[in-house]
Amino acid sequence: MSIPENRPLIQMQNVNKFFGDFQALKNVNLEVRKGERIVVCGPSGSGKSTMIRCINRLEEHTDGHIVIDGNTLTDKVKDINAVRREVGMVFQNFNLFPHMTIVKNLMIAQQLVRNTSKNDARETAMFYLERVKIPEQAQKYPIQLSGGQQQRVAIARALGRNIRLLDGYISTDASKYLARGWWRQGGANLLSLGRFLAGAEPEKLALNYRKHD
Amino acid sequence: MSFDLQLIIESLPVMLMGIGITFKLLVISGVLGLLLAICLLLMRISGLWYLNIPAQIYIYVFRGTPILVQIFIVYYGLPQFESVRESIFWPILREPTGCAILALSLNTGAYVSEILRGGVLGVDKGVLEAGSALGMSAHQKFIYITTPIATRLALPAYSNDVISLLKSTALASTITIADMTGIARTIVADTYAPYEIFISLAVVYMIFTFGLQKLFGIIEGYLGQYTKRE
Repeated sequence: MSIPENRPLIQMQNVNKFFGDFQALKNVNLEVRKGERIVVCGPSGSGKSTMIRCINRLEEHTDGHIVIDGNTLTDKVKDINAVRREVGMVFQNFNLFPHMTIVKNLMIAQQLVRNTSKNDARETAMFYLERVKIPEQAQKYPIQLSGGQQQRVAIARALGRNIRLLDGYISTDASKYLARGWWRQGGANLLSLGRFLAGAEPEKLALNYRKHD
Repeated sequence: MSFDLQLIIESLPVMLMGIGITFKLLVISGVLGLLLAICLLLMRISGLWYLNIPAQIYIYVFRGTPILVQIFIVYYGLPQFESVRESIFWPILREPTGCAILALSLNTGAYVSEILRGGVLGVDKGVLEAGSALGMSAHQKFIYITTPIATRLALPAYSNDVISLLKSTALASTITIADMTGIARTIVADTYAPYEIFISLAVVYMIFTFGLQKLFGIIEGYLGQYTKRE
């Protein structure tokens, strides 16, 4: 059985998410295929982050189906870690590991999750840091970098993954590295942004006007 | 009132003979207490009630009673039980030093476990989410993210407890141990000069504390490198 070239890597079907009585996601249907970049725009509180966070199961959806690269998200811990290995995410406030140098930030998951050797992990990390043009910052700690540079590191940390998510905003400093880094990489890109930004360069733009209050 | 300088000069070296015992009480109880604290911490954050509740009760009991009373219970109380006298621990518990170390360790363990828990709770949730998002397991997150960050956060409060433990070792003198305080009390009993002797004793403890402060300052500087912008 051959897998079609442009199969969807992210599939959400009739997804609902409740926090108690509050419904954060209402009947979400979304597909992101290989090579696509899709931007979801909407006001704060409209559920953008929740949607992104359901994809790597930082939030559990209440009902509906989420299929990531052929794996349906369920309660099984083993399955979710298999999915997370393929999904890179840039958080709203980047969430770099503050106690690790920049290069270590990019090495740790390779070493722990993919069992890459230290030297190979370092080589890959430096390769990605070259992509976002900050190899000279490799030995610094996150706090010593500007916000934009930190986002570039977060972008680099998600490189090499097939499915890439970005939540929040794109700093002007980091925007061109999405093009140099992520778009070139193939794979599926899904971005959720408070407001549209030039660096996002979407092929499809999903607008979400519904604000929950 | 006169201040007998000659007496201080003569008795200081004698008191300092007890510094080895004070140091021994501090280091052994400190290490054992820390190990106990780590066990209690893991029980507290395990999420399992049958581990969490016993740890909570333990902490409550040992924080809720005076350390002096705990030392007395271990020293005077435990030998009353035949099972204790016949156990393999008897050679240790027969000695006052063993009793003092046991009581100090049990006491400091209760406090330190709560200090460590404060550190664990202080770790930013977002950073742990980043670990999850990268596919790290719960154990990997605990070892590679929580532990190093929590250690740094807990260090200032921990150094406070170690300094406090140093002062608690003085209570060992109440069960016949010849630590610095024990020797000072003997000298006072001989010379009737509490003023000179106890003040010089206090100064010795202060110098000891100064050394501990410096030591923790160095460790803090080392562990806190990543918090400095330069």
